[in-house]
Amino acid sequence: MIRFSPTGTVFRVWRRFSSWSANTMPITETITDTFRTNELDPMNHRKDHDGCFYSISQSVKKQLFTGGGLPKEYKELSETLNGLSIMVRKPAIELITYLNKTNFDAPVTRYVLYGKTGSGKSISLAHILHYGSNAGMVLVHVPWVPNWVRFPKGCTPSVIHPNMYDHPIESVEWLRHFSTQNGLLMQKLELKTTETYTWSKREMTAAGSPLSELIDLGMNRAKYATDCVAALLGELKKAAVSKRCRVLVVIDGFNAFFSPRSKVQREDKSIVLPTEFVLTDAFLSLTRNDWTNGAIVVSVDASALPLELRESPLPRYQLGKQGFEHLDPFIPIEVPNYSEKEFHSQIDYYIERNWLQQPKARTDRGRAELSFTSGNHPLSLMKLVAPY
Amino acid sequence: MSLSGVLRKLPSFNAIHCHLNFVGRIARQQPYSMYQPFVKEPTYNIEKLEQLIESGEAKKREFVPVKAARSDQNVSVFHDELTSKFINMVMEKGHKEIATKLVETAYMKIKQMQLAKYYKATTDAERAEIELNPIVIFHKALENCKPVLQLTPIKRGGATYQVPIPITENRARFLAMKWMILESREKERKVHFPERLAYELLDAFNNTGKVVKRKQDLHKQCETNRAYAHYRWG
Amino acid sequence: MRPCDLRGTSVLLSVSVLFVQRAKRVCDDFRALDLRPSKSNNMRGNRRKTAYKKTPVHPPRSNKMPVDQDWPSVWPVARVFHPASVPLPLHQGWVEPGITPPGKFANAELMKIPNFLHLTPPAIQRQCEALKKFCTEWPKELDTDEKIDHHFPLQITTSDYLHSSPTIRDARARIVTLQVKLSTLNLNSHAKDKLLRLVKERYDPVTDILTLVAERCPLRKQNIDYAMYLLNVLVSESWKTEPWENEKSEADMEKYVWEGSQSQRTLQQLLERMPNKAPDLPEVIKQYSVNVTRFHNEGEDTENVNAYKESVIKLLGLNA
Repeated sequence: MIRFSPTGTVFRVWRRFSSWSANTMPITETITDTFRTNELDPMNHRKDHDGCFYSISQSVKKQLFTGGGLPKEYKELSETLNGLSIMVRKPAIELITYLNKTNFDAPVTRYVLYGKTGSGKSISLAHILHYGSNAGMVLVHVPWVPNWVRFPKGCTPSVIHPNMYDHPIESVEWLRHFSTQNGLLMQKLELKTTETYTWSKREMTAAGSPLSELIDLGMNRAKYATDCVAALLGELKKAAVSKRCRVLVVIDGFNAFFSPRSKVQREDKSIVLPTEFVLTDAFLSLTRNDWTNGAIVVSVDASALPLELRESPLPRYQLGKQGFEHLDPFIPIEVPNYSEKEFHSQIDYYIERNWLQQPKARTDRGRAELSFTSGNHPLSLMKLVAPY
Repeated sequence: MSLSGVLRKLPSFNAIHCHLNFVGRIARQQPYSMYQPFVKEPTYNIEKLEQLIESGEAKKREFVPVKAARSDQNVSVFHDELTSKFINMVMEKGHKEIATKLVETAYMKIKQMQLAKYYKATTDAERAEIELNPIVIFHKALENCKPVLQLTPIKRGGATYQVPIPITENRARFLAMKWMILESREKERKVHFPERLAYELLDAFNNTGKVVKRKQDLHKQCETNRAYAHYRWG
Repeated sequence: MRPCDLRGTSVLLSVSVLFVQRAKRVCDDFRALDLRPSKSNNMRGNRRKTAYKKTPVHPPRSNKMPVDQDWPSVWPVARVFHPASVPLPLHQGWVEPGITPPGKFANAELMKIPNFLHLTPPAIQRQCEALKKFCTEWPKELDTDEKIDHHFPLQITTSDYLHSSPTIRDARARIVTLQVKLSTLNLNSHAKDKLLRLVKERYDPVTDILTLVAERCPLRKQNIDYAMYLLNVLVSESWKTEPWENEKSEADMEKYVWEGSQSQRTLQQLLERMPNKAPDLPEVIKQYSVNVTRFHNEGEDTENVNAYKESVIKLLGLNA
């Protein structure tokens, strides 16, 4: 039985003690009551929270994930199940321990999440994003890089950089996403630009002007949006080095930057490589380890590359030679399939939220069948449970 | 065997037809089958099997020849016979995977819609009333759509009359499913089949909607043609 | 035996005829000498078709062969099967079950197939004895395979082909295969790399054997000489360094080498900027380099990746 408090947080009343529901569930159903945790702050998530769900409030969800960050099906499911809950899993816990222990005077460490498609990398990144937001770090978040490479909404040749390409619409969207995620924080920090940016004869952003002005300019003038993004990233880097703020860079599908193909074509129908995008340059310069006071968490997925390059989910293969050399040395963290505990916890969550309806599926036999047919793979499990 | 004896003891459709030899229907004793008449259907439900073994029935069936199980008959906890039949009817040109996907998406949409209502509801009583299990909804919806009588054309003296006659369980179920699928395949292409099917099933569950209306229209027709009912026997 | 016509012949003639007939009947060791064959009465009235005169056939020689005879003298060379000379009751040929297969006389099957009656053990022994004086003994010191491989690393394989036909020639007899283990050639890394590039798929990395097949010359000896020449050329060329070999870039490298790689350079830059380095830095760097090399050269694996991860953690000091 679920009771809803006015703030939207969910707390449970143990079914055993409530009188009216004594006969609603058949006895053969199994449910373990340990799949939720009340620790809502990711900064405090530790090893013993492994396999537990913690819920994210609507306001946080709106702030962090309006511009993307949660996979589409997961987002729809969270809306159906009346609340976003994320499972705390080993890769995220490992990352949080590293981030808590980081020496922010040293050059930034890069972490690469890898694993099969659908094993939970994006969700782990979402968890880390929440952590960064709670830790007061400026979030630089790219929800899914292949969107820029495979489905560009109009790429134009860049004016400032010869032979490079802009993404006007995507840059505007990204700036909007950035300001939503970091709005309050930016107001508090009051960062200023360190150099002058001349956009045209009449438009320029002087040195010492607030960064919010730069962002607003980018959002209003699509023509200069991409360069605004590049400028913003440069400023953030300098601000981090001079200890004015701490930056967390989270990029999903990083290996798409090194993809051999994109959907952008020149007039002569030749393909433009992703390395010739201005945005790529900007984010690659940000993910280099030549700055301090920050952290870079990146995910690498087989579905970010074309079909021929999806043989292995391992990071060196997915990044390719260029990508590897760019990120080396990095810490690769595997996002595996569910362990037994995590699997049962996930099933418990589905049962509790009334998503897994079939009474027979809620028994031990049903769980065994689901575990076998999904192979403990998170995405497969989600798809199997969806119709029943 | 007297005629009335047949009707009283065996209300099954096949027996009546083979006895009275209606125009336009082939008189058949049993459907075409590769198997001999004594070969039994397989029991693939694990609970039933366990019951049979416990009660001792299994020993009696040890040497009885049994038909091969079909590829969609399985011991999965999600297996539902009615759903398999429905998927077979949705299937075109043998594309079972597409048919399964469509029906499963429809179930998911039903769950989504019902859960939306569930989480909006404020009192426990309201919540208890909302049915969330899509299979239960599907069964109930089909029940609500099954007609009790059907019309058949009978020629008397140069004119063809639509005569109401009783309907078998299988035929009723078939008609319910057929109507459900036809209504979900309507012309408006923006809304795809699974969504439409979900809406239709929910409506039928609540005894409203196009399919139930169709059943009720049929019943009304049967009622108006009551006068011709005796044409059944000449 | 027809009764002979004694009409009009002298008693002496009839007696001589009788004598001749008696001799034919016996027909044992020697054929009767018949210098002037008598005319049989073939005049008009008694004319009949000349009966085919069967030449009287000796009984087969094999009936009288002693058991302890010298077989190689009887059958010294390869010869078409001759049933009368072979004292064996041979049967050859398929027949329906229950029926005895045909015997050796006038048996085409036995005559078609090659026989090795000229190569019986006593014959072979004699041949070996005759050849012995041309042979030397196998040296006692070469008793293990390793020693043989060590002293005689080169292995040349040729094939001879037997035919049971008038000609002994076969075109395949000229093919020569030369096999040598690369470890015996004492090449340095550059020479080995160059040799492998020249030789391509003739080298088997599992057994470390280079195989050269020569068949372009008509004679075997010529092919052997060519194979030896080829090996010499390969080795001498691989030791040479051409001026353009300095242009070998990273893309041409056959395996990942840590020194001079981008990875090493980034690491150097990183170490300059790191405030607190790990205490046993050279070891940590070495382990890191080993792990990076491993997963480039041996193919990526979860194990390799984890090893890489451990070494990076130690490097960046994220332990405990």
